[in-house]
Amino acid sequence: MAKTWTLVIAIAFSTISLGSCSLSQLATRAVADSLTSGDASTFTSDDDPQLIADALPFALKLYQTLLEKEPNHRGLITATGSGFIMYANAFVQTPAMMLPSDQFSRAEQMKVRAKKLYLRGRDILLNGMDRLHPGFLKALNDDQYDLAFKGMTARDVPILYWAAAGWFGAWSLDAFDFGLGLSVKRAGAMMHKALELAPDYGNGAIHEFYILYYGALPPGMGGSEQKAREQFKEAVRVSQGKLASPYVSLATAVSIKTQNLKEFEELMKQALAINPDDVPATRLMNIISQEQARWYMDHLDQFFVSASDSVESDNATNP
Amino acid sequence: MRQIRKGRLALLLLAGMLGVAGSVSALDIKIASIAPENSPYGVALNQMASEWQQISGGRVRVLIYHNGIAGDQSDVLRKMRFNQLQGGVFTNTAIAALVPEVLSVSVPFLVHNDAEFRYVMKDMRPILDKKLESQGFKAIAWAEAGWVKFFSKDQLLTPEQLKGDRLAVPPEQQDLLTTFKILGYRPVPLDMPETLSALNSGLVDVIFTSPLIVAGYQWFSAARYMLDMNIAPAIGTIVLTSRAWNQIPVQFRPEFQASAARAGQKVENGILKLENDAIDAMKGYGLKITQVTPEIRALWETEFQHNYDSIIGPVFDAATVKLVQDDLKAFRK
Repeated sequence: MAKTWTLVIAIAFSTISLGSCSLSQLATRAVADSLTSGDASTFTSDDDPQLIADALPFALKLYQTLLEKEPNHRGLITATGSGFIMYANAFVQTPAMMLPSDQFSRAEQMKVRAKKLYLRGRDILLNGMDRLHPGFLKALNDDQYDLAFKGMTARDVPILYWAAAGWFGAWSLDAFDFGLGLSVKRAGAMMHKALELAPDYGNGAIHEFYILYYGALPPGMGGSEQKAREQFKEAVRVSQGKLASPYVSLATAVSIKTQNLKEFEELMKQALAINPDDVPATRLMNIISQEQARWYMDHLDQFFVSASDSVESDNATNP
Repeated sequence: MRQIRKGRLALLLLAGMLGVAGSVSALDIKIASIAPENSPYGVALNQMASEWQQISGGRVRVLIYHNGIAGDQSDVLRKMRFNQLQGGVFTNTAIAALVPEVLSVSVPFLVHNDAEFRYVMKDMRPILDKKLESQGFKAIAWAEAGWVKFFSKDQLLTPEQLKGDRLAVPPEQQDLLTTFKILGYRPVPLDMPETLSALNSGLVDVIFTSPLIVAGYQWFSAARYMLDMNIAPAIGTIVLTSRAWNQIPVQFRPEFQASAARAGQKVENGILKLENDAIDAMKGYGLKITQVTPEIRALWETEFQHNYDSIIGPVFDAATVKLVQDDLKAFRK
C-alpha cells in the first residue's frame, strides 16, 4: 500500500517551494505543476523514513491549501489524497500495530486517527474525480459503475487506486462500521476498474492490493487463498522481485491465516534479502517494508499459535 | 574457616535465589477468538490482555489470536484440550459442547428481552460455571451477544409462512435443527461460507441469525426482509483451561476476573447500539423491516410454546429450562 512514494515526496517538495510563492491562481497552478510533475527520485531514494514521516503532516496541509485554489488540478488531487492515505498507512496504522500490548489505549487512539486520515484522503480523491469527471460521484453512489467510469483512461488510475485503497484501509480498521462495510463494494468496483485500465500500475501496486484483499476476506465474501497467491506472482513479476512488500503482504495475509509458519519465515527472509540500494528509486519503500518484516519476525508468537510453548505441555490432554 | 564457609554458603544461596528470581519467566496465556481484531469484541479482548499484563507487572502475558486464525470454535476447544491454546471466546452454540445447559437460555421465544436475559443469567451463571469447572475449564466472562432474528428472501410474517420455506441452520446447531424438524419446519444444514450462494441459488429462503452477522457478511443483499422480532439471545463467553487459570498467581486472580468481566460488560453494553447501527446501515442499502404486531408475536410464541413439551427434554435440558422459566415468572410478576 505504501507505493508511489514519488507522490509522497512531491508533497515534501511543497514545503520548500511555497515560501516564495504568492497564492494567486497563476502562481498556484505553476507551483502545483512543478510539484506534481517533477522527478522526485531524490526523495524516494531517501534512507530515512522518519525524516519523511516528520515532514509529511506540514506538507499535506500546504497541499490542501493549494488544492483549495486549484481544485481541478489532477496532480494536486492525486498527491494530496494519496498523501493522506500513505501517511495513515505507513506512519500511523503500522506504528500502532507495533506498539506493545501495555500501550493498548495509545494504539486504539492511533487506529482511530488512521481511519480518519484514510477517509480524508479518500474523500479528497473522490471529490477530485467528480470534478474531473462530472457525475462520477452520483453514479458511483447509485452503484451505476459503467456510468461512473465512463470515459476513464489509464490517466485516472492513480485516483481510482488510491481512493479505493483508502476506503478499504479505513474499513480494515473498523470492521463493525457497517456503513463503511456496506459501501466498500464501491471501492471494490474502483479497484477493479483500475486493474482493467492499467494492471501493472505502480510497480504492481494493484496486484499487491489484491493479495491483501483475497487473503483477508472470508470465502463467503470473495476471499480466496488461490487468488491471493496468483496476485502475489503477478506483483513479484511486475516488480521483478525487487520490492519487499509483496512478500510481506502474502506472509501477513495468507501465511498467518493458514498458520503456515514455515512459509511465513521464508517469505519474510526473501523480503529481507532484497538490497534496498539495488534500486534507489524504491529504497525508502523497501526500508519501510523490511522494518515491518523484522518486527513480524521478532513477534512470531503473537501471530502463530505454534511459534512458542506457553504453559507446560505435560499432561496435555488434561485441561 | 567455618565462618568463611558459612559466608560462601550464604552467598551461594543468595546467588541461587537471585538466579531463580531472575529466571522467573512470564506465563503466556494464548486466547483465540473468531471475531476480527478491529471489532468491539477484538478491542475488548486486547484491552483485557493489556490490563492483565499491567496488573501482573508483566508476569502474565496474554496473546490474543483474532480473526479465527487459530481455527473455528471447535478447533479452538480441541487445541485447548491439548494445551496449544489456554483460552477461547465461544458462542453459546460452541460452548454447548461442554455445557449443553447453556442452550436453555436460547430456547426460541422463552427469553424476551435484555432485562430478562440478565435476570436469568444471574441464576444460570453459577450452574454453567460449575459444570465447566467439573470438566477442567474456567469461564472468566459471560455476555449477551445480541439477538437472533429471521431474514428472508420474501416477506415473512407468520409461522405458517415459514413452514413453506427452507430455513438455513448451521450444521453444528443440532438443537435448532432438531427443534425446527420437530415443529414441522424445513431446516437445511448450511455452513456459514455457503449462506450467500445458497440464498441466491434458492437452496434456502430464510436465515436465522444476528443482524451483526447479516450486515458483516452482507447476506441481506439476498435476504432483503427482516422480521423485527427477537427470537432468542446469543451468548458469548471467555473460557480458560483450569490448568492455565490455576497457574496464574493467586494474588492476581480477583483483578483478572474483574478485568475479564469488564471486557464482557463492555461488549454487552455496546451490543444494542451495534445491532441498531447494523440494521440502519442495511436499511440504507435496501433491507426492508417487517414490523410485528402483538398479535403476530403471540402467534409465534404460541406456535413454539405449545410445542415446548416436544423439544424440552429431547433437545433442551429440562431441569435448567425449568429454572429459566421459574426465573422468568418471578421477573414478569
